[in-house]
Amino acid sequence: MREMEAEQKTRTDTDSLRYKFKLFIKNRLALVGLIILAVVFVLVAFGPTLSPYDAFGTDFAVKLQSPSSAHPLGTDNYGRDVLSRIFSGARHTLLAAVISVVIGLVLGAPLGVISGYFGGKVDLISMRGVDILLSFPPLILAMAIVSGLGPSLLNAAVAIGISYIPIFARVARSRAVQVKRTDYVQSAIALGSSRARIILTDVLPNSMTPLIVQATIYTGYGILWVAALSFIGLGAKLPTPEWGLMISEGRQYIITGEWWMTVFPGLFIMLGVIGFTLIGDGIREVTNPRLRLK
Amino acid sequence: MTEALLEIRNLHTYFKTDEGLARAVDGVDLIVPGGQTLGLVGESGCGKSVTALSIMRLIPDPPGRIVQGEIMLEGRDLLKLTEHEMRRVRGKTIAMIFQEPMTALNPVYRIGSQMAEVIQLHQKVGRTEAINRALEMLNKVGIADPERRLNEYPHEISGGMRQRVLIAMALSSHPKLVIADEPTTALDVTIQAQILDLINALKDEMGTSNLLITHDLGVIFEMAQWVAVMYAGKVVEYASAGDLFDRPLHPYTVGLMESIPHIDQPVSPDKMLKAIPGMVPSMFTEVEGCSFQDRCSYVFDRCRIEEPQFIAVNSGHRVRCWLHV
Amino acid sequence: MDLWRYFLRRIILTIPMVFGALVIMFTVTRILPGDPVMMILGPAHASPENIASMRKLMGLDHSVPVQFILYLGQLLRGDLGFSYHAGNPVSQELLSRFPATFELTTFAFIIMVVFSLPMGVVSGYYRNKTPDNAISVFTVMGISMPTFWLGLLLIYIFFYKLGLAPPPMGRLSAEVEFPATVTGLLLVDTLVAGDFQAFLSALHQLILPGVTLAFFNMAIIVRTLKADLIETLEEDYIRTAKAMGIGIRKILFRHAFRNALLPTVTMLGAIYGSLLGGAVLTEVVFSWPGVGLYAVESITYLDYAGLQGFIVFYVVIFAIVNLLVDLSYRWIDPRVRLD
Repeated sequence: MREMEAEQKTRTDTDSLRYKFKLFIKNRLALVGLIILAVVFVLVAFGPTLSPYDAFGTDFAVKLQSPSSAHPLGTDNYGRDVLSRIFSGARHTLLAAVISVVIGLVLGAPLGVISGYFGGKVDLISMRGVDILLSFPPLILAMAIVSGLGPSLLNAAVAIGISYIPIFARVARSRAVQVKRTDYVQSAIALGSSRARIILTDVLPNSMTPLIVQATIYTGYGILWVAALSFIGLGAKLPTPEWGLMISEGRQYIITGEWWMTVFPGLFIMLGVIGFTLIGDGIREVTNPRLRLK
Repeated sequence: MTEALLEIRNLHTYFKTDEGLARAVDGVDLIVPGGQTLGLVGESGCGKSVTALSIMRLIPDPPGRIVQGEIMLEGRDLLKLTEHEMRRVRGKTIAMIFQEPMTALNPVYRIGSQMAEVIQLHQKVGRTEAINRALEMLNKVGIADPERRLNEYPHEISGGMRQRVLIAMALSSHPKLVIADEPTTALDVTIQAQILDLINALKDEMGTSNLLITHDLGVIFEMAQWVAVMYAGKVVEYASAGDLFDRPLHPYTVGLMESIPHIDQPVSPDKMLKAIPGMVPSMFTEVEGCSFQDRCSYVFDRCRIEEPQFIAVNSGHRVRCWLHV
Repeated sequence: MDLWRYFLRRIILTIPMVFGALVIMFTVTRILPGDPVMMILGPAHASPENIASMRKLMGLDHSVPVQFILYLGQLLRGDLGFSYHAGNPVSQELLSRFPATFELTTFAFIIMVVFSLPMGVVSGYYRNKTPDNAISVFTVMGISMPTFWLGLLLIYIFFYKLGLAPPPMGRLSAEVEFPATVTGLLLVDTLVAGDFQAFLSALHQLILPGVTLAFFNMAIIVRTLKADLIETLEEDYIRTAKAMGIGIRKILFRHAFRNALLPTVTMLGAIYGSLLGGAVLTEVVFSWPGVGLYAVESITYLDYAGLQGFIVFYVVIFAIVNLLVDLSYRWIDPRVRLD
């Protein structure tokens, strides 16, 4: 008898958020990701304040200096401090990435859920639409949209967001189909609950987890794509200290040996992506009991 | 009594998990006689499958490990062999059939290919000869139109047929011991009888010993000459089938027998099925004394203090219970 | 026969998809804000007559639906328009530049497959031990590195610092002459022409951009394969194989590998799409004269015909590749039914 009670207690414990968080922390990689993200967050929020120099302040006297104690990450061809530009630029790259994921989620997830739940013609048409979006290689789609809208960081974020719609739609849809088949949804339907109610209270919350995992990971990728678009001139415009744009600016100098303008922004991009990916992986491990091998 | 083919002495297999140390097998002693069937019976979770996997040394390490014991086969302790030597034993001297035939075959290769692979491995023959022998075995296990089956993929044949194929594969190298872990539990009732008959017939024809693992006393009655009863990771009673059914000694065995409804018993609405009260102790906790104490109707003081030894009551009948000391 | 019917059905399904893609692309490049005429003429030449005649020349004097129909007509005739910044028809530009991209993409694909498959298996088998940890460091870096940054980094290390790589100036080094065009693929054409020195030069020039392009996808494949291999090794049929006495090497490479590879093969279409996209970035970094570089140039010079043509081209190729990958499923996984 006592054993049964003990069993039940541990069962509720494993489901609680606190237990999941503790398990998450136990995963060292996820912890690293969390730390990285904390740093990134600080940069995004307080970047310009933390910058020792003005990110836009040109000073040709000190141009193209390699890293030194005065300028830990060196200066670029206009004499601007690279460290300050990276700190100040964090918000541009990151916010654009976040916007793209939000667009993809907000437009894609409901589409997927409705498509998966209702099935039939709705499903067919939606998925055809999604397939059409998927018929573009991802960067190409973004290129097309941005060139139509006009190059700007916001438009780049929107374009990437649109190319994310199919991904979130697919994830949401497959989850919705799964959840719909469960006993408790079937009984809710049999009891006559309105479809809207079932979707909102049962289907949506249960589809959250994979969507959150994907959203985290794709925020990381969003950083890459935003930087890529800025690199080819379809994103942020000069003199914005966006990380991808900085790499583009530094490009011609790296062949002659001035590497710091290109290397450091790229390193920060990498760090950002790693942070999000590790967290996404960590969340996935915690919420998928099967992966938690003893 | 016939020569013992396999003898297990004091086997302990533990698993290290997040929830603690799981003592899945905590004292197993048994003997599989040559040319006969030993039935290993017990409820789910009592450690029967882990025992079988321990014999085959297929316990995943981590998290599991065979921490103690001896498994004697033809004078050699299997637990002392190197992995390389053990690999030569598997499939050739000891073969194993598992519970789930649906997933036991590789879905991307044809039946013939998979059978030939095993035959070529153990019998040092060429591919053509291997295919021939595969055909022979398929015939032996009663599969119609074996040439066609050889070219088919596993998903193209039924569950019962897949189990026959697996039996054919297991027996293809004429092993001395066949371990069958609940071979019919996943199959339709009508097929069950066929498969069991097949296993019996092959045993007689080829002189193999069988270690038949099941939770079904009825299967034991039909198939086994010797029986070992397992509870909570230990063998609690070992006897010939006749002895066990005539005079079960361990209270658990008695309880099992009593819980089976008899066909000639009158059924009245107020009569309840007799079950053994209580629950199996968790494999994570170490019990002081006999593991059956909380559920035993004959329990007395000594049971709670000291764990009973596995003692022979008369020739061939051993029991782990203070009642019979 | 089953296969042909499936093939036909897939082609028929692909056409509306490509059509839809064209509609989207047309909408985006014609309807949305931004006047291409003004951008091409510039304020200096923007007299009303010039604007009007430019409009007529670009076909912008019709209503939008009519424009689209005219465009479709053009497409079906293989006419992708005229590329202003290149001074040639778009289709000609694309076709002449495609071999460069194809060679680069295929080279990257080969590198990808040759290295990532063994790494995935090793990583999955030695889970959490040293080989896996080393490989994992590599994969985590691989999926988080911007392709264009990696290219620049490699140029800096291998060209500037170590002098091992050639200057990123195109497909052949300056002293070597281009061979006669047979396929447009330099690795092939140089061998056909018997010019071994040119062959080596072409190979030399390919290495850095090839690795750059392959890197990201290699990391993804290794990660996916590793996870799938771990899952496959838990399957019942692996247990059966072990119980039959089959050795670990055979189990890994014969039994587990094929099954673990299946989901990765499913991704092949997406991977190729990623390669096509990545090629754009790589070509920019290495000044590789392929269609990707052409697209970026078209953007820079506001050559809308060029950009559109490029997009149409890629969409078609992508569709074909996906179709081929779909068809190969039946052969790879016997359980797949054609319906």
